[in-house]
Parts: sequence; C-alpha cells; structure tokens
Amino acid sequence: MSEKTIKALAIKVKSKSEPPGVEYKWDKIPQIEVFTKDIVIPEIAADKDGTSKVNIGTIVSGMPTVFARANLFKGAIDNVTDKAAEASGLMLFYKSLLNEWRGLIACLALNYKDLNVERIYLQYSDGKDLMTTENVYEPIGAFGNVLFERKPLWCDQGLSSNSEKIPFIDVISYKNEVVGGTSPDSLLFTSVSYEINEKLPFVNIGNGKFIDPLKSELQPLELNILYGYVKLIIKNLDKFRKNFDNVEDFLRPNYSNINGNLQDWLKEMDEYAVSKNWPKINEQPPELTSFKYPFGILFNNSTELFGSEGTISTDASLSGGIPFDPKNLLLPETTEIAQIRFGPDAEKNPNFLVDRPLMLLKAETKDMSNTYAYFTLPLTPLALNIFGATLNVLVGMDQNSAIKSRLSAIYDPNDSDGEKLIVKLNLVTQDGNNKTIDIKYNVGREIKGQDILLWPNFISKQWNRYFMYSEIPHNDTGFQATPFIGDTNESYFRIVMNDEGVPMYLSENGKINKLPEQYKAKILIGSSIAVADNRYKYEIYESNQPFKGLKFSYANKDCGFAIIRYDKLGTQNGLPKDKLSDPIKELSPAFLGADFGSTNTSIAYWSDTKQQVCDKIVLKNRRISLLSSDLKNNDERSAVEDEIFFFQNDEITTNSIKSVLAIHDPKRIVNDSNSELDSLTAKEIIGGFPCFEKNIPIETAKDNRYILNFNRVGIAELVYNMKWSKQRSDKSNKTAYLGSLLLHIYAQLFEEDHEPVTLKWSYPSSMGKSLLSEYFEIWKSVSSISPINNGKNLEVYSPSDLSDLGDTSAPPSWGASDSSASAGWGATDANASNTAGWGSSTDSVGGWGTAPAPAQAGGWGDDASKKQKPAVDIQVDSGPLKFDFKELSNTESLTEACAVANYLVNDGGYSVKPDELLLCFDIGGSTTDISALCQMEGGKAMIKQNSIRFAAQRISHATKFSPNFRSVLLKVCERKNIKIEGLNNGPVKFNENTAPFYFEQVIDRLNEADFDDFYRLIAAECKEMMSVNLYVTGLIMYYAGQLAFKLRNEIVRSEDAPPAVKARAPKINIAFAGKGARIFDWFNAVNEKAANDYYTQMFIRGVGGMEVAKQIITPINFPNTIININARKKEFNADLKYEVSKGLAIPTYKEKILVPKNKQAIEILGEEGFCVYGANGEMQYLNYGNSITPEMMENIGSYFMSSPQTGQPPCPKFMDFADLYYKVAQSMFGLKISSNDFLTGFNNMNIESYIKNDPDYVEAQKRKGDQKKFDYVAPIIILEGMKFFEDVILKGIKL
Amino acid sequence: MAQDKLFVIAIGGTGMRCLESFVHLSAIGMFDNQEIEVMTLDTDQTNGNKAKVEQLVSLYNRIKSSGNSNGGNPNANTFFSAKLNLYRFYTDYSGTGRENFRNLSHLAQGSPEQQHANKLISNLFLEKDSVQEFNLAHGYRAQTHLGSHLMYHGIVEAARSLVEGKNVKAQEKELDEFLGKLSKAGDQARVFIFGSVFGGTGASSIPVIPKAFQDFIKIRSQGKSNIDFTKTKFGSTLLTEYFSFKKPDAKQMSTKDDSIIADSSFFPLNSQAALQFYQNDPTVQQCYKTLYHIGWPIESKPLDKEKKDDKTITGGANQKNPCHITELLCACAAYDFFTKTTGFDVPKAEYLYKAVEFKDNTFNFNFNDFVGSENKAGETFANRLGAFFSLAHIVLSINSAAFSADAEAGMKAFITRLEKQKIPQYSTISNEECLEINDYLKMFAYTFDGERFAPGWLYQVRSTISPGAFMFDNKSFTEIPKELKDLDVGSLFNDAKNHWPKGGLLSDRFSKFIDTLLEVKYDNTQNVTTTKEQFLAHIYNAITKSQGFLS
Repeated sequence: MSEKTIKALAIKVKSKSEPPGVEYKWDKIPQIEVFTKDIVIPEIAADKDGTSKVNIGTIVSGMPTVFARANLFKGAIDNVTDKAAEASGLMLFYKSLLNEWRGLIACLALNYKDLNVERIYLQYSDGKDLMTTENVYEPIGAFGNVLFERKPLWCDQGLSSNSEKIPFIDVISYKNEVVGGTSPDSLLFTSVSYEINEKLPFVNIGNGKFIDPLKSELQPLELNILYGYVKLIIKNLDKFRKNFDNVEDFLRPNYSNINGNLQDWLKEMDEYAVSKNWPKINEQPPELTSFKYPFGILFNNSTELFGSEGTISTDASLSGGIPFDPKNLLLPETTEIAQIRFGPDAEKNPNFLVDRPLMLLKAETKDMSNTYAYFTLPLTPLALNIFGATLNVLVGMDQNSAIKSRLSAIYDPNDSDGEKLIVKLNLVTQDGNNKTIDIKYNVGREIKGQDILLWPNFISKQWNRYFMYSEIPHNDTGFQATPFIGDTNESYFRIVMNDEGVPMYLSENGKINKLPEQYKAKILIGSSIAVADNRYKYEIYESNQPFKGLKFSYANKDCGFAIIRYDKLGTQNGLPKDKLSDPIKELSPAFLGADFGSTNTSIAYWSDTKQQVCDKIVLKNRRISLLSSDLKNNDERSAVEDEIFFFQNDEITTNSIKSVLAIHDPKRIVNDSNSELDSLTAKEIIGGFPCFEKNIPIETAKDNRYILNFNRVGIAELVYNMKWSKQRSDKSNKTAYLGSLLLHIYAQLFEEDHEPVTLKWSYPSSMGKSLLSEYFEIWKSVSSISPINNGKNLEVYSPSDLSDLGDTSAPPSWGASDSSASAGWGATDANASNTAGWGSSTDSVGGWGTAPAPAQAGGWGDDASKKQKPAVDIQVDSGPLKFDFKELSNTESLTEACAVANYLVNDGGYSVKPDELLLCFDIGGSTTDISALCQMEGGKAMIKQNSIRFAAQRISHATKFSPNFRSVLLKVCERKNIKIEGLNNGPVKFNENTAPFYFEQVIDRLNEADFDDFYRLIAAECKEMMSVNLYVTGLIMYYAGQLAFKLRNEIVRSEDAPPAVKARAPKINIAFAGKGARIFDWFNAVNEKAANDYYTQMFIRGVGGMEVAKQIITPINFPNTIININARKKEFNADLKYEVSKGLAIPTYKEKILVPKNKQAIEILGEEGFCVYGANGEMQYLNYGNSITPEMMENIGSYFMSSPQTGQPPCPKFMDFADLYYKVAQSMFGLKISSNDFLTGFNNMNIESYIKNDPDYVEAQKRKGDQKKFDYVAPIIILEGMKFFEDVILKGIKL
Repeated sequence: MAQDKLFVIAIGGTGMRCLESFVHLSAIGMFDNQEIEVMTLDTDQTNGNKAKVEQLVSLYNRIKSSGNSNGGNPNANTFFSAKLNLYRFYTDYSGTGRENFRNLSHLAQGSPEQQHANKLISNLFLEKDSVQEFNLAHGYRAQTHLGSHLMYHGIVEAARSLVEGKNVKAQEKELDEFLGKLSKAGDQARVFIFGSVFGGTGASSIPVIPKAFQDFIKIRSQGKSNIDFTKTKFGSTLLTEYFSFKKPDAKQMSTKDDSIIADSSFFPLNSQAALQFYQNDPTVQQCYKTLYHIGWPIESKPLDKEKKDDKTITGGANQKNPCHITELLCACAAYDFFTKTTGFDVPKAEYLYKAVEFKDNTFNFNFNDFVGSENKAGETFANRLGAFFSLAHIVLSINSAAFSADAEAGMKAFITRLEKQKIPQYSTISNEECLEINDYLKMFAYTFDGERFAPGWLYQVRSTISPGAFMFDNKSFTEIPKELKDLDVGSLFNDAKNHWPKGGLLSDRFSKFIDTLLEVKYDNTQNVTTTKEQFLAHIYNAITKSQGFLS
C-alpha cells in the first residue's frame, strides 16, 4: 500500500520550497518570500547576465501597481544577493535589472553631464485633490494616489510634521529620454522602455539598456571614477537611511542588500583592475549635484572642499579657504566657449600664452599635433577666485608650482556635432587625491581683430585710477565683454563678488552697475544706440579698483571668462605689474613744471629726494593689450583707433609731447547725469587723450582740427593749436588734454617713486588776463585728478601776473620823470639807426632805394578829429624805469620768460656777470618769449620779459605754400625708411592743409643727428622754405638787436643798476629755448659762418647799426664773435623744450632771480614814424626804441598812429630788416620774390588796419567793453613782419 | 455560517469563472441563509466569461424568484439557498478620448509644463508606444501596472460622477448600490474577491479594490463614511496561472490596438512578480485579512488547443474559457472565508494554500479537500454537490432536458412523473420555471448542442483533473447520450455507500428515490415559502436522505 501523498495546489515552486500541506485544510504558506522566490518559471531566452533578448521589462507587467518598475528593482536587490548563483525566471530578470541598476549608477558617475534630473511632484497640476481635481487621470496626480500606504515614504522627510507632504520622483533623463528615477526602496530604477544608442561602457549595445560597465571595456580613469562614486554612495547610504527614521516601521527601508551589492561591486572592480594589470584603483568620485534632497545625500558628490590660491584641501581651516563643490568649478555644459584667434604664430607656439596678459585656455587641436587654439576659460567665478593668482598654474603655464590641479582641453574642430572643446579639470587636493571633471563644450564664434586694453600697466594699493578700453562693449549685439574688478584690500586680490557668488560686473545694458560704496566705477565712453551706425565699437571704463577679468558673452549668452595676469615679480614685460604685495612706499615729492605750448608740451619736475630737476622723463607705454599686441609699428602702418582714443602707446620724452588732443565722438560720451557736454568733455579721458602718435591716417586739416579717417571708425578728429584758442569747446579740450596728460605723468612718476605735489605752469607774457584766468581755472580743475591713494590734491600755483597784467590804470611805469621829457629817446635812436657796422656787409635802409611815401589813409592824418577826442594821455618813455625788484617767488606759476630765465641761471647755466646781458628767446609754436637778464643791485635780475606772436609755426605753416616741400619729406622718409600714412603710404593726403602736419610728422621721426641733414636737404630741394626760415629767424634777431639797444639804455639810466654795470657796455649772450629754437639750426646747418654773420648783422641792424652797437654792446671776441648766439645750446638739443618746464620745476631759491614787482613788460615800438597825441592834442613822434604799451595799442589810429614824415619810408625799420633778408635769401637761396614785390609790400603795410583786425586785438577790445583792461600789446616791427610775411613772403614762395 | 454580511466581487475573466463556481456552490446550497451581494467588475463589458456568469446569476435569481419576490429569499439546506444580488460595474473605455491611457490621461493637454511633467512620469513607468497606446476596451491585457492605476481611478471616477449627479451611468449606479451596502455593513462586512494574479483585470484590481472602495465611500459620502480595514474583512484569491492559450503572433501584435496581448507563457513570471508585490505591499497587507493562494503546479491543458482561430482572444464575447477545478477551489476559498470564525485579528494578510492528494502526477480530490472535514463540512459539501449533480442528471439525462428544448422535458417531465407518483403539489410550477431550472442545470452539468456534447461547469471542472479522482464515478461524467439516458443517477459517487438505496428486484434506485420523495418533505428550518423553493427543498431532502452522508 503506497503512502498517500498530498501536494500543494499552489504555483509550481522548487521542491525544497513546496509547502507540505495539511490535509483538507487551508494552511498558511510558510516563508512566503522563499516560496515566491522559488517559483518555477519557464525558461525565457536570456543570456548569462539575465539580459533577455525580448523586452522583459514589458513582460513583467504582473506587478499590480503603476510603480511596478520601481518595485521590481527593490525585488531585484533583495532577491539577487548571490550574484553568482544560478537564476531563472524572475530571478534572471532581476539580475538583468541589477545590471541596469549598476549601469545607471555608472552613467551617473561617468556621464552625469548628459543626465538631467527633474523633480516631479506627484500631485495634480491644478493643486486639487482626488475628489475635486479636473482630470482625475492626470498621471502626476493619479500616480501619487496609488502610492497609498507607501506615500509617506516617497515624500520629503525633511519637511516639518505639519507641512503638507507631497510625494515626488526625481526623473532622470539621458539626452532628453527618460531613463530612470529615484526610489526610496532601490535608490534608483530604470524606466520601462528606454534605449541608448551610443557606445558607452555602461550601455549594452545589444539592447540599448544600461549594463554593469564591468562587463564592458572601461578605461582606468573611468574605473577610478566609478569606484569612487560607488564608495561614495556606500558611505552616504546610512545617512540616507536615517532620513527615513521617522516613517512607520513597515515602510522604513532596509538598505543592507543594497549595501551588500555595492560592496560586491567594489570587489568586482578591484578584480577587474587586477585582470587588466592596472595599478591600484585611485578613487575619483565625480562631481555632480544634479539631485535634490534627499537623493542628493546619496548621489551628489558634494564633498565640500576648500580652496585658496590654488591649494585644495578638505580642511575647512585652510587659510583663506573658500568652501566649494568641485562640480561648480566648470561652466555648464550648455555654455558655448569663445575661441580667441591670435594668428598663425600663436597657433604653432605652445608657449604663446606665457607672455600674454590674459589668462586663457590653450587647447591642442585634435589630430593636429603642435597646433593650438585659445579659448575663454570655462571656469565659474567660484573657480576663478579659488585659484586666484595660481590660475596660470592651473592652465599649465607654470609646471614647477606646488599646485598640481590642472585645466586642460582638446579642441576638436571636426566633431560631427560641430566644433567642440573637450575640457578636463583635474583637481588635486593637498593630500594627493584627484578629482576629474570632464565637460564637452560647443565652441561658439571666435573673437578676432578686437582688443581690450588696460591702463596703467601696474596695480598697487597706492593707486586708484584704472582704465579699460574695450572694443567688445558689454552691450554689443555680438560678442560682449563685461569687466569685473578685484579688491586690492582683500588678501588675495579676489574678484569682487555679490552675495550670490557672482562677480559684480561693472556694467549692464549700457549703464554702470551699482556697486558697494567702497568701489567706484564708471563707463566714461560707451557704445550706445546713438553710435549703432558706426561699426567700430568701444567703451572706456574707469575703476578705483584694478580690473580682474572679463566675462565674455555672445548675444547675452555667457561664453567664458578671461582673467588678467598681473606679474608680481615684474619680470614679464607684457604683463601688468602686481605691486599689491609691495610695501607702501613713501613717494618722494615731485614739484612739477608744465609748459603747455601751442605745438608741444613739456613737463619736468624737481625731486626733493634727488635735489635735482628731473627731465628726460619718458612717458612709457603703460597700456596692456589683452587680446592683441600693442607692439604696433607706426613706421609701417598708421595708428589704429585704440592708439588714438586711449592712452598712447608711443613712448615719448616729456619735452616733445604733442599738444594735440584726440577727441571722442560726442555721441559716445556717457552722460548719465545729463551734464553739459562742455562740462563732460573737460574731463580727462572723456574729453580725449593727448595724441603722441607719429603716423595717423589724416584726411585733412582745418580750423585747428586734423581730420582722421580710420578704416573702422571712420572720421575722427584731433584738436591742435589749442593754446590761444578762445572757443569754449577748446577750453574743455585743453582741460581734458592736460588732465589726461597728468594721468600719464602720475603713472610715470609713480614708477619713479615720486608723487606730484605742486604744479607750476607757464604762460606767455603776452597772454591776456582773461585767457590767463581761464588757464588758471583749467589747471586748478585738474588738481584733483590724482590717482594716488592718499587723498591729496595737487597744489596748482596761481600765476604771478594774474592780478595786474595789462592794468592800464596802474601807476606810470616810467618812474617819476616827466612824461613829456622824451627828447633823449628820439635823438639816440636816430643816431643809432644810421650807424654803419663793424665793416661788414649790410647798409641801412637805404638799400631799398627811394621808397615812395605811403599814401596817408583817410583820417589818419586828420589831426583835428584826434584832438577832439576825450583826452587820453598816452605815456611815452620819459624817465628811468623803476624796476622795484623782488625775488622770483617759488610758489607762483611763471611766465615762460621767467621760467626760461630760471632755467638759464640754474643747472650749470649762465652766471650773468655784470658785463653781460643775456637775451633769451624761448621760441614756441606761436609765441616767442623773450627775457633779458643782467646784474642789478641785489643780484641777477630779469629786466625784461615779454612775448611776441611770432614763432616757429610761421615756418611750419609756410609749408602749405611750399611747392617743393613734399619732395623733401618723401626723400627723408625714403632715407629713413619710414612710412607715413597719406604721405608715402596709402592714398596721398598731402596737400596745403596737411603739409604742416606732415612736416611735424617727419620731424618727429628724426633723430637729433638727422636734423642737419634734413635742413640741408631743405636748402637744396626746397629753397623757398629756407628763405622762409631766414625771414623768421632774421626778424627775431633784428628784434633782439632792438631790444638790446633798448635794454642797455634802460640799464644805464636805471637807479637799480650798479655802477659797474652801467659803466660797461655788456657782452650779449643770446640763448634760444623751446622747441622752436630749432629754426635757428637751419641756416647753421647749411653754412655756419654765413648763418652767424646773418644773425649778427640782423642783431646789429636791430641795435641801430654798427655805430650804435659799438656804444651799446661789447663784442664777445672781436672781430669773429660780436655776440654769442645760442651759446647755451646743448649737444643734440638735449634740453630742447625742457627749458620752460625745467625752469618752472627748479625752485627759484636755487639761483635767486630778481624780477620787477610791477611786472610791466618792456616792449619796444621797434619802428619809426609812429607818433602819439598828448592830452592837449600835441603830436609826438616816437623813437623805434620807445616802449610800446597797451594804451598805445588801444588807441592806435587815434592817439597813436603811424605817421611817417614826408619823404620817409613807411616802415623804415622793417625795411632795414627786409633789406638784409632779401639780399641773403636771394643770394643764398634764390628767393624768387622781386624787389618790387617787397616795395609793394612796404607800401601796403597799413599796419594800423592790420593790427585792428588782429583777432587778439579784437578780443582785447571786447574785454575792454566788459570793463576789463585792454591788454593787447606787441612791437610794431614784429607786427609788420607778420603782415609782410603773409602778404609777400608766403605768396611769393608759392609761385 | 457567519453573521457578517457577505460580499463577493468577481474581477476579470478568471474572477468571473471563480464566481461561476461560487454561484454553483450557492446553487448546491453551500451558503445557507445568506443574502450575498455579488458584483462583477471588469473593464470589458462584453467579456464572454462575464456575460456567462451574469447570465448564470440571473438564471439563479430567476429560479429563486417567485411572483414579486425578485431573487427570492435566503433558505437553508436546500438548493439555491443563498440569495444572490448581482451588481455589475465596468470601467468604460468606449467613449471618445477614453480609448487608451494617453487619451484618458490627457497627456497632450494642459500647459507645456504640465504636459512635460505628465509625460516624464508616464514614460518612466509605462511603455510609451505600447502600454500607453493600446486599446483598453478589452481590458488591461495583463498590464497590471496600468490596470491597477486605471481600475482604482475608474472607481473613484464613478464616485465623483455620482456625487456630481450628472450623466450617471447604469454601472455607476450599480456600483453605488453595492458599495452602499458595503458601507452600511461596516464592520460586519466580509468581502471576498475573485481574481487571478497573472492576468489582466483581476490581477490589476485585487490590490487596489479595498482602497478604491474606501475612497469611493469617502467621496460618495462626502467624507462621512469610511472603511476601517481593521474591521471590515477583505479576502481574496491569489490565483496563479492554471491554463495557457495560444501565443500571439507578430502579425497580430503589429497593430497598435493589439500591441499588448497577454502571453500566457509569461503568466508564471507575472504571477511571481505579483506575489512578491503582494507580500511586500503595505496596502495589500493592511487591507486584506486572508489571501488564498491557489495554483496549479502541474501542466495545464491549453484552453484553445482545438480552436482553429489564428488569433489569441484578448477579450470580448469570444472569451468564454472552460471552468477549472482551481476556480472551484477559489469558490471554496470564499466559502472558507465566509464561514471561518477566526483568523481576522491579524496584523497583516495571511497567505493560505491547500494541499490535495497527488498521485501518478495527478490530483485526486475528495469531498474534504474542498471545504475541509471539520463538522462534516466535506460530507455536507459532498452531499449537496452530489445531490445537485443527481438532480442535474434527473433533469438532463433521465428527463432528457439535455437533449430537448421542449418545455415538457427536464424538470417538467420530472414534476409530471411526481404527479404520477402522487406528489402533485408541484404541478403549479410553470413550464417556464421548469425551463429555467433545466437551463441552470445544463450550465451546471452538461447539455447537447444538437448532437454535440456541451460540458457544463461540473463536467469542465472534472475534466481538468482527469484522470484524477473527483468524488464521482467516471461514468457519472459520460458524454454518450445513450449512457446518459440510461444513467443510474443514484450511483454517481465513487463510494458505493453514498449510492442511493436500491428498491428491490424490479425497482431501480431512481424509483426508490421517488418513494423517498413520498417519505420526506421540506421543513420550516429550510425557510422555503414558495412552491418552487419547497419543491427544491423537497428534492434536496430526498436526495440527501438517499445519499446517506448525513444520516
């Protein structure tokens, strides 16, 4: 009898798990989990890893919850604890799920950049509940409903107990395809149907599902990353579990199986490495923060590191350490990185960036070895601050640093998906651990041909004015560069950030951003819609803190950063110097002297420390070109826009600064405060920059404006010849010019460890009070531009003459003598003028033959009318001058004459002995300042100072009329191998308007040794210009002679002169100063002796002829040297143009000079045939040596007039000059003007009319109308010379 | 029998067939004095199994009905003793915009953000191109992850519809009525659910039904009523696969509507997954008191072995699967659940199973195997089943109801015979009533469709264990007309002691039985009031006496 057996009427299970059953009864299934696990499943085609060839995910639809997919992973983890055990059915499927689970983790570790994690809250989108919601089937709400009792587990456990808790899932998408989600049970699960068609180590290429990458081919680095990540998850697992401590027991997850699985995985990874013969795995968990709480606990690698100056540590106590998450160091993958093109040389030079001032990322081009491309840094601001000054190390510029972290990149221009930049950031912590972050960026457009410039080329805690010129305005429509600053008060000069850790960008939408009070920044020049039609864009920033870097963007989409490299050691020329760590230096006081001329400006200073005047100051190029090169060879090509509209890059000495201002298009000026334009343009930088450029693209010149024509910006203007301009706009221009120039000076002196503390400025003696007041205002206004961080303003001295210059109501200058006692003057003059010389060539005026008497203009001879006028008692020389000397003050700005005098007696200069009279001519562009020194009671005294508007520009402007001058310039260029735009390069722009400009351009290119050749070339090729030179220089010498005559006479009769001085006719030393002094070199270069003779004879004629001269002066070395001309000339004109500025700078107490208190200019009439009408209507002819006063000038044509006596030539003194000139010019330089033309000129002199039409005269009349003093005065001889020059000479040479 | 109020829910095709067994258990008299609320729940309104069981219940009720007494009253110790109240609910996916998950969920509607979120979450859990797209008209097609979600919300949707009161559908009203009674029963409710864990609708619904009902009641009552799962007793079958059918071919699955078809080869896998879910799911564990795991550990016969149709039947009217003994065991599980007095005070659901004699790779069932042996439950079951089976043969075989649709055949003929035997009191039972009994017995046992033998429930159940033993003698299940007509209805049991007594040399067991009818009648304990009830009780008593189980 067989034993009765019973069998469970249950699903088929393995026999070992089959419940035994109780006959006839419903019995409990023991160990239901085991029972279920051992259910026998028919074989499903699957490989050894459990990967089914059919979509097993769709097969297992038997789990009756919409969360089946998530639950299955829990089942997989809990049931497949022995990976090696054989499995079938669901267990086999579970194994495949584990494969996917690991694959998804691997994907997180290795390709997190392609993943997107979105938290989906499982509640209806209308916020309503199950009962009232509009669409009860809406998945996000409906799925949440069916969590039922499990709902609390899927909610945010961090919420307070009384908060509404909404379940959520963090859905993971891989390149926009849903591939998985988070689960509190299995941590992660994959989605039901996804397929990744990429060859990746964690993807099964057979079915596109995730797979344990150990079944694939992993790279060592990938294994390191994966290992680190899995270990990280294990480490965080318990913390994550504790997150659920407050849920019901039956819900509380148990992660022991997950932990076990992960631990096993680590072992498998170790084995994998061994099998590959790889070194021990070096954990490098990836940096990702895609997950929110609570899954961020597990999957975010938010290991907080601390970084400071490139040192990376896990230690929070790291000095200056900034806490950071490594994954926040690189910009998001969506950023399009900008490429910066530096040209072919850079592409082949692996060390190109080493000398560049901008920190960029070098990338070797894929498949093109030794070819490099350059990109903006794909670093976040956080990273920029963390690496700080060691960014150069990070990007591989310094391999010797202790900082081992590196940022590297490969540029792939041929990626099928567009240009790519594959960036790798390898962080190395202090303890040697590595973390690597890889991101593949799209490469955006390229920056090429645009530059950004900085000024100055250093940063210091003692400096607070920094400028940036950007051709990539922050608000442009294409590429945009937005600067940000560093804080010099911060230990590591870090980027100034806002509370969100974002740099405080200086600008936005065309405006400066609001900054904390301690930071000051402005946009001075902007790129607004007003200049939208101009394709050249630029903007200029100013900041009180140094610029730290730039954010680049394109159409407002960020595309990387660039950080400015500052060189602490100061050994790299191309880099701005970082002086922040230098000790605060005691800046030596510098006492500035500034000579602002019509054509050139000169600056010198006295150093207290050195106890010497410092000249030869070179305004060095302190620009830093960030994106290009500032080594622009203007010998080869003309200047470009940035060389004009920003601080200059040409280096010049401060005695040759062109008085030219480059101005911005007013539409570019940022006017946030709605200020008057003139007020804005008076400010430095905004109003423009001094232009030193040697080669600029001039189009034409007009009205004191050079019109430039650039390729990009088009028309631009330079302002020149501002000195005497009375236009309101030019006042602003002068102010801006001087302000911007002073910034140059400050920078240079700062480098020379000096700080300007006082400033003396010079002015011509002839300058009217009004203009002088204006200049004082101008200079005062620039006193506050100091960029030195000590709060001190520059002390600008007021001009000594301001209060009484030209004050005609002042007491008579001629002492107490009777004003009518003038007989001695005329007699002396008459005798002198007709005295023969020391036996040399020239005669007196008789040389012109008999000039017809000029026709008297109507009214001029109308004595009656003059008598009827109100009484004007014009003072004439009537007695000895009362000089009433005082010492030249050291706290005043000086006339140019005084300044030159101070120069001449200092620095090893003239001693001015009792038997000497020193005549100094400071020849500028538009004025020649004359001073005379001699010994008087009390010491060296300046007995004469004045200025005449007759100077070097007469010659340079004459080039307009010179037909041969261009050929001279071309030959010089050829000889010197220089290119000048518009002259010998590019379209010809040389014309009569631009000729003076090109003359200056060529002069600027010559070395001192070249000048004589140049003059000789002129003499040979352009004789007319030599004739012009002889005219100007000859007239000055003639005038000098007249002065000598006058001064000697005044000394003799002065009570202030010592007897020894009176007793002996002085030796005459004539000194030339100023840039214009070169005009005396021309003739000398051609024929030194002839030149000396010419000038001597002119002087003698001016004195009044040889006979007079014999009484008036003592020859220096008879017969060879009558007078000492240009005796103080230094080799190569070393001090040229420094005379005034140095004279200003040198303290006047060094060599005491006496100056008359009354400061009344001693000006001479210089011509004969002039008369005055006294108060009673009596006419009095004046000798040419008589003084001429503003009063006379004011009354010219009425109480003071030219009234040659019958039979006398109209302008005998001028004719006397012209006689010698004509002879020499004609004989030596072929002057083509006929004597008849000269005679016509003499007869048409009509100097009264000429004077009254002189703009300066007109201006003086206006001032008079304004109840101010009439201050116009000039020697008639010079005025005649000017008129004749224009009427006869210039016209004559043009023919 | 417990005093609790009983509720039965049949879900899906398998659930319907389990209900069929349950109805037959009711017909043989296993649920004395009970008024049982029965609900069919499906997504497939036209499902053949569903229609069949509803037809059966309807027939059952007509048999019990008399005059104005619709569905009659509960009786005891008689055939059709339980009163069955049928409710039908189905989730309607026939309307425009309700064809599939995507449309039903309005995935393409709402703001872009809403659409994005809904698509993300949908794609995470439901296959985008198949599960989200297939036509729901034929149910959930073994996609229980989708089905559970839809069934739950389908029931909730009905509650919302009822609350709103507009365009309330008939099935929603029936559900409302059913759940109204459930709510009213409160702590005294015992709810048993028939369904499989491997298929579609049933497997989808079992885990969510208690929660769905709970939320329905909350919504319907505006929060005033609830189900306390610690008191309301839910039980369910966890019926794993016991049959197979033809694998769908690629051609059939290429259409979007049929892209998802249940593949019986994956039923074991599905079952395993489902069982793991049940044992881990806190909702199931908390809602259910008892889960009856019933499976078929031996090879099952394919349902469509002899069918010529190329296509796998996904549902609809054509889905009329034969009955299986496991379904009977499911019905017996319900019996156990409804009758047991212990086992409800449990922290979480208990898993029960049953073991049966197994020999020669076949199961052999005896009476005790179905309902146990305590208190002679097995004998009672055997008696009642045997009695009903005997009645079936009396009507179908002896009185030829199986061979003729004539109203005079079958029960009418038997009554006529009784009239001749001086038992005339049942002549008032109408021909129509007799035909209804005929029809029911045909569904219970067998009939002939023309000349083709059509096995009824019991024949089908028995065939599933053939050649294993099944209480009755094999000759009881003959399909041969002559043998049927000549069948000795008093000797159906295997065990001769349960054969009816013989009447002597010239008298067969049936004639003797007639005599017995004259000896016994119905009594008051049976609570029979109508002629038909009295008639059936009379017969029940006579057969019971004849079979000798309870003597």
